[in-house]
Amino acid sequence: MTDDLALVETARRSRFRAFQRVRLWIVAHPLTMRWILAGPIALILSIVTMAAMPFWFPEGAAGVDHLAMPVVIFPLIWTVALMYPCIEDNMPRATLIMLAALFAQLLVIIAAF
Amino acid sequence: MIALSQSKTKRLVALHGWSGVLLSILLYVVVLSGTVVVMAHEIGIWSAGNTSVAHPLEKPVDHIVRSAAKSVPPKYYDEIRIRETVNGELSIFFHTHVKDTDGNFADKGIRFIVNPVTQEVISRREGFVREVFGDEPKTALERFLLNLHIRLHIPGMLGLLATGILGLWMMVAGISGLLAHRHVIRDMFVPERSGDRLAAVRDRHALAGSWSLIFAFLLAFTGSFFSFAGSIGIPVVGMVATGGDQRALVERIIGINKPDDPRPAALASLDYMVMDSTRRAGTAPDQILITHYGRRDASVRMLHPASEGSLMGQTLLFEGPSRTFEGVKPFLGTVPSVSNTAVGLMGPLHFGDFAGMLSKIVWVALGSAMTFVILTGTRLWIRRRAEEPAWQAYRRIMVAVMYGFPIAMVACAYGFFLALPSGETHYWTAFAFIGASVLCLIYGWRERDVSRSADRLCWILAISLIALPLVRLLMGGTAWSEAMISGRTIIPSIDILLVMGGLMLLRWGRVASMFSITKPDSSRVLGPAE
Repeated sequence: MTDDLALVETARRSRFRAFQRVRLWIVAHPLTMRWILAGPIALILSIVTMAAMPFWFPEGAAGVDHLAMPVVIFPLIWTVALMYPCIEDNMPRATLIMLAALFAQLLVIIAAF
Repeated sequence: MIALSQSKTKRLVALHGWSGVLLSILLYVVVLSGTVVVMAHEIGIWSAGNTSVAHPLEKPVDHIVRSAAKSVPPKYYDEIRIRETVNGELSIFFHTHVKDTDGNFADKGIRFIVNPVTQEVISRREGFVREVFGDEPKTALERFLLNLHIRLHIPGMLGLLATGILGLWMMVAGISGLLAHRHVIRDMFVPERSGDRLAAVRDRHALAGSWSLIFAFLLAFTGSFFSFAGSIGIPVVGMVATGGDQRALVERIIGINKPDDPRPAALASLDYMVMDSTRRAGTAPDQILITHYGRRDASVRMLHPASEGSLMGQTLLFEGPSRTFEGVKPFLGTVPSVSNTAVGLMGPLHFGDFAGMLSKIVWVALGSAMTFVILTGTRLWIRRRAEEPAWQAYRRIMVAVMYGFPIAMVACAYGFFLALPSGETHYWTAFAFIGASVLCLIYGWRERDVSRSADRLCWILAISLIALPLVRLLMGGTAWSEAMISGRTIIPSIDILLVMGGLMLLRWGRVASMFSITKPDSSRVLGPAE
């Protein structure tokens, strides 16, 4: 039993260490992370958000808002996703927020099919 | 005042500068061509010499449509689009939706061009929409300039993506400029410092930028929407919402949900419906769309331009066989909605056509201010790096583009008018544009003295503007007297504007020394806008 607990604790610590290593790498390479987040991640996030919006955006009186509004605001979503990592000082936080937003939208799409 | 930490401001300034300067040439091309094509319709009338003031849909059209329909196979009765051509004739396009050779849905059918007065059929052509609409000789100049602005003449979706990304970058440059500025409102009222110091250059950039900021954002956003909607938006939303069927998505969004009823039924009088629709909307329709001609489920949509005091046009819906008015059809869906208003506003805000000529003139003025912002911003950037060889080369290219692009646009008008007798206007319009662009770039690159190249190119631009109306008249263009008698004052107005523009360039033209560096600058470190 004690061995099991020790194993679990070791695994938890190793996961934590892996997370810490990623975090330290992000802190050490803010410019690279900004390029990645403001470039490919921002583009992917905006496209995935547009694709997920038909499933969570209100349909509106005409029943078409959830289909039309994603297309309308796509340039705004992309602009915000591109500018946010350029303004944010805390890069691990920016990475976490953008990836969380990306996975949340992906989950919406996966859940819908 | 927007308070940001020093590091954030530094990053925003870098983003503003690099986003602007890396795409400055393309942004300049898209913004300047956009400023010109605000007047695309007027340029179309001027270049085609159209003296017909009355809209063909104000004349009876019912008999013309029925006569044309007799010679059209029923497979093309799916939809009929009736509108005015650039020559003031009536265009009637019977068509259906089929897949083209690339596997994309496209309209295919038969297009008639009819004289609305004599009702004589001028031409009848069958094919895909791009074939039957694409090669009218008199539309060459208008279409060339529009395509230059909309897709930079890059074929397919790539062109739309390119202009969409440019719009996006313009938004990024605008927002980062706004955030990086410490005193946006104050900058709107600060007079520029005199001389050719860096501070004066920055003042000009900040002044023009502050005034055109909201406009720049609006145009960039609406432009990006138009570019991305077809190239990314509808395909992506179609993929998740209708399993990849983009046509089904468009029909769902537009709200075509009438149940099919293919039983035969004659269409009621179109003339009556036009009259009724005009009475209800307050303006004559500028386009008629008939779906399922000859069937019981036929419907007629009358598209009206914005009437006085309103921002958006409206579409009135009639039941085809009974000519019953069914209501005002929103652009999207069947009842008013947020997305309908949002999409409906995109056009007027981007094209500036919501208050006739007045709003178009304001849009041209603000577009010119944005062009000035791009040039002064690029100049500011280059001035700070004047000693570096790479930026010296960029400066030469920028001067060549700054004058060369308008010269190329004027050159394509020369190509158009000179080719009018032969009918090969599409080829020669493009050829003249490319030829002039290449020559200007070669000259700008080879001439090491930037002031001299600016002087010469400016002179060429001025003279070519002044001479253009003469060439138009010599090639058989509509004379001023004829245009004035028929009420087409836009034809002499454009001629006068061209001559005035040329004279102003000769007098004040070297805005100019713009990119010349008179002496190394010592007045640096003045603020974040640099």
